[in-house]
Amino acid sequence: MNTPSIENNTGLQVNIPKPNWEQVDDGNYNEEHVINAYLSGKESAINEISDALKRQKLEYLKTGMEYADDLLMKLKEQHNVLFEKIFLRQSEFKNIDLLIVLSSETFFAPVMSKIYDYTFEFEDKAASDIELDISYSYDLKALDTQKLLNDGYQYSREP
Amino acid sequence: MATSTQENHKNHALHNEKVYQFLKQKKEFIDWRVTTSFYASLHFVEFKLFPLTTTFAGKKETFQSIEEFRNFFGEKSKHAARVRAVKDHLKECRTEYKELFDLSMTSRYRHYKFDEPGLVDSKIERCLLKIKESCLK
Repeated sequence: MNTPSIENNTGLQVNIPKPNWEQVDDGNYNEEHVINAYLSGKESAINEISDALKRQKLEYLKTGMEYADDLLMKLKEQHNVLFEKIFLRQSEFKNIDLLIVLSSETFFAPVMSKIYDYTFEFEDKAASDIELDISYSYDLKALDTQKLLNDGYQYSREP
Repeated sequence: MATSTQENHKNHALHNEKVYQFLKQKKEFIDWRVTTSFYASLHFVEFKLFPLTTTFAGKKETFQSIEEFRNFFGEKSKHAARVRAVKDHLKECRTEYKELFDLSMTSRYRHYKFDEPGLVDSKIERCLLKIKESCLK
């Protein structure tokens, strides 16, 4: 007995295993519809996931900026440390890198040991929301801001 | 007993420290003084840290190298992984390591030019001494 086969309107032919299946083609509905429905469903799901990821990424960015503002305020209030400028980059989905530029007097002062200790604690506290990496540099006018931009520091603010 | 990898890190650290001292004596190449001192500290901490056994999510994990540590925690770079490892597992010199790391990164953004070599050297010596003492004791 010949194995029965089904054929769609693209000319593709697939053997089916059981003889009691038959194909009724009314010309209005075939496997193309199923595939198209699958593909359009998949595309819309991908778009939805992509939108959700973009929204979440922006949320992390916003959270990073809020933490940055909070840190700068606390450095001023608790340690009397002022900054010249802060640069921020979103290095990964949930990773925010902050580069805080201080005056050279502050950067080389003994107070920096306390600032680093405080910064480690601050990073740890933020860890439940976001991965913060905080670094310090000094003397804004000597820094190549184009190089910082090339390294992904797209956001910055001054006091 | 130290493994040959550990010994390599220790020797490399001492070598880089010697280069730093040589350049400092010559009062030349402040950019390379920053670089050599940072890479001395990098090898000191790797000598001390690995193999590293720690508990993560209730399970004991052992890492033989910074590469294994980085892969496990999905850190974005080996430098980031090292900063994390020092911060969490070598607390007595984590501040000094991060200070040298930041100084080294600053060097990149200043085109390797420093107008305050005396201040830079003081910072390097204080940090490097602390890191060396913590790692070799």
